[in-house]
Parts: sequence; structure tokens; C-alpha cells
Amino acid sequence: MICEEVELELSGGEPSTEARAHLERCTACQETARVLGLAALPPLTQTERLVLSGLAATTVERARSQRRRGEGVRRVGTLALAAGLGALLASAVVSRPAPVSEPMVRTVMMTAPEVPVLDFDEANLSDDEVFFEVGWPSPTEGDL
Amino acid sequence: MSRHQETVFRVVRRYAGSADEARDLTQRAFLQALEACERTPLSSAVPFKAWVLRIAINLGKNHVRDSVKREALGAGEGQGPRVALADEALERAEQEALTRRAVLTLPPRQREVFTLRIDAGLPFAEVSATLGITEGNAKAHFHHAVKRLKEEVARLSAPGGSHDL
Repeated sequence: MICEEVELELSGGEPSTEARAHLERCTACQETARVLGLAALPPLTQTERLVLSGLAATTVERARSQRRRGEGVRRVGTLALAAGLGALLASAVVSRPAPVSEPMVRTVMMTAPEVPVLDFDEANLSDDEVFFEVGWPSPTEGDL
Repeated sequence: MSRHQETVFRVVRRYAGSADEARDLTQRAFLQALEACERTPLSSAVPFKAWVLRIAINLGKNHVRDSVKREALGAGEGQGPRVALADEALERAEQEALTRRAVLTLPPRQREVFTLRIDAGLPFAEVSATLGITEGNAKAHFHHAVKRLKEEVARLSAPGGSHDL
């Protein structure tokens, strides 16, 4: 058995008879065993075992509360998102430019002016007064 | 969760300064793993245990980086007040504390392999599956980690050896 194999056996569990025999005569492996002994942590204390006994329950409870909190945050986030979208839509509607109003056409009811009824006396009018005879100008008319 | 919580706890207590910190890191690792499971369904290639262990290692690493109480590392609760220890026991306790700190200064991959093997007690096949490397690669990293730790311990044990890890 070589030192590397003994080293691996010393790292965990009970070393084999062969490894123990090697260890008795090899100072390098004895030093390895010593260093591994120094580096190893002491066995769990009573306090640590007590801490461990309640660890699973508290961890599961904490995981559940975290999940619940996460769901709550997600729900609030969804609501906030929906509210934001609603506000965005509302603001878009409100801020839309008002349509240009058509010019107001005012209908004015007009009544025909009263026309005085003229009372023509047909007797006073004659064809002579209405028509004048205009002759053709002479070729020299207008010459100076 | 109950099936894997002790393994995760054993891994993160390497990085934590107290049992409470280790509990918090374990809880956070499981919460993150569960959250990740909800987002992306687990593939058969990466089992839940590997997933949560990877998260735990990363959390532990970040915890050490962020922690300002590095002095608390390695001070196990069962050790009792140091003043009451005999000289030999005191020296042993100091060496343990320094060696444990040296583990945290290993290169990332070596440290991951080392903690999964020594603290979590995973077989090399599981270590390699967790880290997504080959088993031979995991063993090689472990060998280099032990070699480096031995050098570090020898350096610290030598007269005038620096203790400022």
C-alpha cells in the first residue's frame, strides 16, 4: 500500500488493517493523520444538535412565508400594472385634442320687406312717355 | 430536507463562527435551493443534495469573506475556556485553530474537496458529483490540500513560525 492510498483511507471512516500497518511504520503518513486530526472539526455539540432538530420546521415555515410574500408582491404588482395601464389609457383619452368644431351656422329667418304697394294709375301712363325715338347719328355729328 | 440538513450543517460550520451562524447559513442554503428548484426544475444530472451543498459552500465562503469576526473561527463550543487548559492541551487547541484557519486559506477547489470529504464525510464519488469533477480529480485535489496543510503546520510549528494566517 502506498502513502497516497493510506491518505485517502485516513480521510474518512476506519482505515483498513493494511493501512494501519503502513501507518505504524511510515512517519509521513503519521504526520498526515495528525494534520487531518488537527484540521477536522470537533463532533457536533449538544447545542448544535438541538439547533439542528428544529431547523427543518423553521426553514419550511420560512420558505412558505417567503412564497406567500412573493405571491402578495406579485399580486400587488399585477394590480399596479393594471392600474397604470388604466391610467395611461385614461390620460390618452383625456389628452386627445378636441375635434375642431364646425363653424356655427346661424339660420336667420328673414322676412320679406314690406313693399309698398304702388298704385299705378294706368291712365296717367302713355306709350309716348315711355318710348323715345332715337335716330342714327349723321356721319358728321360730333366733328368739331 | 431532514435527510441532508446535517451534512449541510457540518459543511457550513467550518465557515461559521458559532452554532447560530451555522444554522443561519444552513437555512439560507436550503431556502435558496428551494427557490432555485421552483424556478428551474432539477435535472437528474444534478441531485438536490449536490445543489444545496454547492450553495452552502458558496454561502460559507462569502460568510468568511464578509465576516469581521474571524477570531471566532475554530472556537468550538465544547472547548471551554482556554485558561483552564493545561499547556499541552492549550498548544493542541492553538494548533487546531491555526490548522482550521489554514483550511480556509486553501485554493477554492482544494478547500471544497477537503470540506466535503472531511466535514461532510462524503465519499469521493459524491464529492466529485457535487463539484462536477471526476473522482480522480477530486482525489488529486484532496492530496494537494493535505500536502499544503502539512507544509503550513510544519511552518507554524517551527520556531519563529508566523501565526498570522
